[in-house]
Amino acid sequence: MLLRFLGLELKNSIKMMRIALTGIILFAVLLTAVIAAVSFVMEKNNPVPIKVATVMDDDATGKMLVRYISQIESVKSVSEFVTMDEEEAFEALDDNELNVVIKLPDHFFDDVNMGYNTPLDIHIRPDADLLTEVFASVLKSGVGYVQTGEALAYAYIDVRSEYDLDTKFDGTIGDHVAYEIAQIVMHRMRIFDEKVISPYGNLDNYHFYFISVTVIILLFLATSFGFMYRKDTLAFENNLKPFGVGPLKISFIKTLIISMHLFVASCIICALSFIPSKMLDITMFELSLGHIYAMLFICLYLAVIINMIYSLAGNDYSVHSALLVTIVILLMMSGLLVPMSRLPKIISKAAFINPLYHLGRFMTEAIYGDIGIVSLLGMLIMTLIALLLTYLPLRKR
Amino acid sequence: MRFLLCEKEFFKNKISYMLMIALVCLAFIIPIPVESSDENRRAGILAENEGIFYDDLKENLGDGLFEYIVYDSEDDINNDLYKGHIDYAFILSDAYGDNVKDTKRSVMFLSTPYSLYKEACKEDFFNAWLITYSDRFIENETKDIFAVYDDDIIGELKKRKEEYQNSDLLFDVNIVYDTVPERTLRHRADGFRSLTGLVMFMSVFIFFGHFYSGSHKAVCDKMTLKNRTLYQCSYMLSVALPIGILCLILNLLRGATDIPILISHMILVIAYSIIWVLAAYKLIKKESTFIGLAPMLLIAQLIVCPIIVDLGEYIKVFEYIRYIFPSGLNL
Repeated sequence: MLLRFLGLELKNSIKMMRIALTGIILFAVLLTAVIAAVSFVMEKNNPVPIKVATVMDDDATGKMLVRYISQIESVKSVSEFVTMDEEEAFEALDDNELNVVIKLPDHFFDDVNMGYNTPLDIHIRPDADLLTEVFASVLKSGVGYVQTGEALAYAYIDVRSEYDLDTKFDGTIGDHVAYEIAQIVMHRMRIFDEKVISPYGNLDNYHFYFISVTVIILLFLATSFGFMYRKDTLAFENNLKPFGVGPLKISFIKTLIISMHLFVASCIICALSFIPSKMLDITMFELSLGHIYAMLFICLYLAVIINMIYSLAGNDYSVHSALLVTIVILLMMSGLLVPMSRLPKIISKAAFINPLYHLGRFMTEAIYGDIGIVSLLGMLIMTLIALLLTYLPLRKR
Repeated sequence: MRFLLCEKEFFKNKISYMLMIALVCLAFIIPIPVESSDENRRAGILAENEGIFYDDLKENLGDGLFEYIVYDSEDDINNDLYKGHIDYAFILSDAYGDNVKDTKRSVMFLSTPYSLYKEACKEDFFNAWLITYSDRFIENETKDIFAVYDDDIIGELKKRKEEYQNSDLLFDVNIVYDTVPERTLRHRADGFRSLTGLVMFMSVFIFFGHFYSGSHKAVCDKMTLKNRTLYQCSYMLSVALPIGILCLILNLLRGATDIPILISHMILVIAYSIIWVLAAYKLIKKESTFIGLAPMLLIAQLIVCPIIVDLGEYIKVFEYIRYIFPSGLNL
């Protein structure tokens, strides 16, 4: 009778899961694509560049200068340069198709050659976003370099003539100083050594989001097993008691069925993760026996938790709604959407009572590192509590 | 009358209170990264070996876009980077004492995966560094240039250099903030506003599931199409209104000042949610499918709408896709 019940429940669940899984697979594909795109963008650390137009006379020096500036790493990281005529550029600025217009005054380079510093006009929209401000900041830094070089060169020229000093750079002392400063500026990035401090610990962005997506999909898939706890199903289960199939055995079978389906879903997710991995030339998931065991444990853990919730609360519309709200809160406080280090202290301190925190931590360690004793204990304790909360009331029944 | 009855039913349901408590929790406990990305401009600074150069550098920093915070220990810097209190950090090696010995790889630049403007921050720092270094340049290079080393000459060079730096004789740029047509002014998404939209929409969606069975269905079955639609709309309004008022209060508590826009946003979200749910109800015949759609909708909105991350800032198409959902409306 127990086996027949298992078969019946399995048949029912497969029927229901067909619909749910199709949705989940479609959703997983969409999510994976989105997350791969976000990770890729964040990995490159490049926000969508702003559009900058330069307006100038048909001047070869000007064009060369603009080409040079637009290729500087800091400028390239935030902006994209286009050349336009004046009317077209200001119309585009008005229509929000451009963020910045740099206007070189007429005879700008003639003035420079004559020793006059004609200022450049930078036109920015009044609703400039942070990126435009960043671009302006980069530009100001560049101007700052020129100013420092100029100030030094002028100071040397003045002091030389005032003190009547001899120099081997006769007549070109300004050029020499400017050249020295230009050398320092050209090689400015040499002064920096770089290091990244990640809030994900040793994880990359895409690893972090892969764990998040997998947990979220499994979690919501698990909640769709509410149909096994409907009132009519419970009435049918009561009829099985005379055949030796009690609530404990039924609960065990349900947990088993949920975890089986979750495991199939997790295999599909892991298989699908190879698409963005291949596209971005990264490793999101490596197939190994250890990982399979870990995923099995994770699915069992989720099944036990969901079985506990539905067994205790039943499945009516209100329970489902309450579950949804609770899951969102727990998710936001689990460190799966925003790294735990970036959440308020109170949440990180209370994380040990959040089952999703343990799940995320265990999964991260299992797939991308070594399982720590703390996360394993956390999962085991949570599983034990869920089992006790499920089975103690059932024993009484 | 019908509306009041629906309202009474809403307040009798425990889920209503749960939703409201959840909303309050999310408003005050969870930080919204969309907002914090605005502050991606704080940098820490620390010197392994404090000296005159470091003192001068600190004075020259901070006139630009980035805000610099002085630290006393590397642990504090790492900790604050880890927690996201700062997004960049500069640690000056012991090459910077009273004078600079070797500048190559002498500044450790620290960042996080969230540091969006690394290059810009380095340029800003380097600008201050160069101004500071220009004094060392005078001290180190003058002997080579003039073949004499005289404190008076050094002093005069530094004085002249500073005078030029403070004058308007040097090359400069004029930044002009143009006047543009008001219709084209850009709007920046507020994460919490989208979150309130999400809560309103999901509440309406979840509560509307009652129309698939029970007393609501029985009542509806006996009504004409017009009356049924009116009844369903008033039911959804009775759910959305208290939550909308709570959202309004929470937005005000979080410092929102644009009350007319805020109210318009609430009205639009409620109207859009009602249309959305009615359309979904028309298309979906099974209660289980309707319930199953809720988590999908929730996740889709969390990703597509500017709640956790504004994807539209990275991938243009998301600026338009988000309007599929009511929480994507962000006035």
